[in-house]
Amino acid sequence: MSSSQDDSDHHDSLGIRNRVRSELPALFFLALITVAAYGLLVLVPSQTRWFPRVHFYLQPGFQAYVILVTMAFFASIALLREIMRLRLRKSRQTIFLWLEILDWLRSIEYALWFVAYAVTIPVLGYLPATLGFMLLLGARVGIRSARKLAVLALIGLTIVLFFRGLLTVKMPAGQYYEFLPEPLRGFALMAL
Amino acid sequence: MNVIFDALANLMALDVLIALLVGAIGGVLIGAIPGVGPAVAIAILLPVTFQFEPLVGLTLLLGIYGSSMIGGAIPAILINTPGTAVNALTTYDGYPMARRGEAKRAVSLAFGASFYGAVFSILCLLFLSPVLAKVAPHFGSREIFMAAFLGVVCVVLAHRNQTVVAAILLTVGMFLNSVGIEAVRYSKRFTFGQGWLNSGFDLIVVILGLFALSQAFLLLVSTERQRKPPALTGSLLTGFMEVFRHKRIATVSSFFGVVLGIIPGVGEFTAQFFSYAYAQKTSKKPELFGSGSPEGLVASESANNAVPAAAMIPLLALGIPGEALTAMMLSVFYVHGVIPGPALFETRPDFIYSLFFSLMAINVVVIAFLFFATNLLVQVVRINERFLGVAILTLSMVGVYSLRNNLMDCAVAASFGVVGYILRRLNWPIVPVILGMVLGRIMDEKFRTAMARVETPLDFINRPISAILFAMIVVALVLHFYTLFRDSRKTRKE
Repeated sequence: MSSSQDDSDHHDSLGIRNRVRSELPALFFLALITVAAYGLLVLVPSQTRWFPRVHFYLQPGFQAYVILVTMAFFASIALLREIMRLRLRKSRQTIFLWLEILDWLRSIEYALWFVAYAVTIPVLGYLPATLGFMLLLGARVGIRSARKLAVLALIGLTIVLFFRGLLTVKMPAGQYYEFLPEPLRGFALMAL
Repeated sequence: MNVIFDALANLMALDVLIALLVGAIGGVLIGAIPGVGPAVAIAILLPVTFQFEPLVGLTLLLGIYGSSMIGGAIPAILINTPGTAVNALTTYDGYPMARRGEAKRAVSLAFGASFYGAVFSILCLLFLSPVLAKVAPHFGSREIFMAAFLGVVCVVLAHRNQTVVAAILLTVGMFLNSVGIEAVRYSKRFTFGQGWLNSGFDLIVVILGLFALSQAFLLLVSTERQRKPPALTGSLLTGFMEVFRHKRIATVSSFFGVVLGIIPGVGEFTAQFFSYAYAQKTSKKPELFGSGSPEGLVASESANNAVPAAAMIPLLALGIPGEALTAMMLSVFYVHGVIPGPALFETRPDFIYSLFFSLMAINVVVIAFLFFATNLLVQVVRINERFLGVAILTLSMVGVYSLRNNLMDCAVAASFGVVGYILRRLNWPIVPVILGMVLGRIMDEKFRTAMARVETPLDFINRPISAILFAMIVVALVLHFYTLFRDSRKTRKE
């Protein structure tokens, strides 16, 4: 039991991080949450309405106060504890912090891909946007073989036909479908 | 008796049967692919199920929930990578068994133990239902508030060594729930003058971001690894029947799964821990645990598969989800105006029994499917991680966009995807955020309703059930601080 447990201490399910490496990034993220908690706490009076002649515990801001005070309390405890626990490997730690933040930023790239995909759907249509998204993103993450890209395209086609065609899930029809010839246009507006 | 016949008739409807098959087989497939997991699949499918009848939608989701853990045992045993998070303990004994040439025995033993645990918990649920139907109507606003509060405390305390982080993330979820126009006086909270924040953060969008998108980002950013599962030879039936040679361990572990599954916020991990510890302590060969003990495998698999049915108890009886997956299912109830809680047992008992029977049928379908398709399923383990990442991202769009055709939802989901990715990288739990959102809403609603009839804070606990729940909260906290104190004293002595 112990060997696997040791493993799980150092690596997550994908084996891409270890505990030492995450000390400073955790501290950084905790600091962000703490600042946000205190910042939001200060904003409660301006962001909630106070109703006269109503008990304080029935005010809309009461719940926000309880939640944010609790959040600020636990975040402060965790932050202080992390600061006190931080080992002396400061130079290495700083490198780990930047490496980790770089990894966080890499996820933002894929978040932007996702938003771009959402933006193109109402313009290009669900099927072309999905095929374009899957093939371009596949190529971006290193899938180069024509066979694998063809399988990705096939999966994309199946997703569109299954969800929009068969289950009639509400996805917008593309503006460009208007330019298609008549028999295909109707089908595309309905199922693609 | 009529209720049971009605429930069986509900189950015989064609759309329910299709949902049952798709959910059961889909769940096994999803579980067998490391890196997907039931939370991702349910998050993606959730908005799609809104257009179905509640029983159809819930059967589909229950199928995925109930069967993914069985499928998750396959990669856990064959390549030492749990298919779902709860199969982690299965790797301790399953993988060593596979390495010494007993892969098929380990896999079939895991299937047998899973089936045993699932059937045991469904039978408990069936026998408990009449009791629940009698007790549930005694739950008023105060009792439901206290039960949700107990859930909050348990969610935090169940994250051992991460309790403070879990508490922070739970309050983050509660805060997210408080954003927007509140339901009593219709005043705005934390909208910062932004119109799109008036309706608050949609639970489904947050779930999709935190679970599905973050998992996709993790797969896309990760380094590619080759997985080569060993070949399976021999009969599945022998190992499947071997569970009955360990029926004491299977029964006790299933019992732990049922009891701990009922308590909101506790779930599979604690049930597995207790079962594994029990099996090891009472075994004639405790030294084998962790290096290929069939008893260890039976303990972990029967405990985790007993939880899904048990987790439905607080959801159906009180409307309180115990963990993330049942929290997601709660949305299906609300969308269709079927409000889970005390009244549901009086008004729709056939619906409740239909869910129990569908859970039973799901497990039978899964085992039948696995007897024929296990060798084929082993190949699913090989699927490329980046391939999966692209597919999850594409499927997530169906979930997010089909909700309201709103681009802002996609941007919000993408942002929560980044937050979820950071949480995963830091090894911080995501579940408290979701439970914070759901339990926070229940607590807010029930607190306001209860306050109309309460004069002093003591009135909250002057009724038997709320007093018992309050006592459970106090006991949970006292036990937690006692174990902290005991552990720190032990460490100091060493």
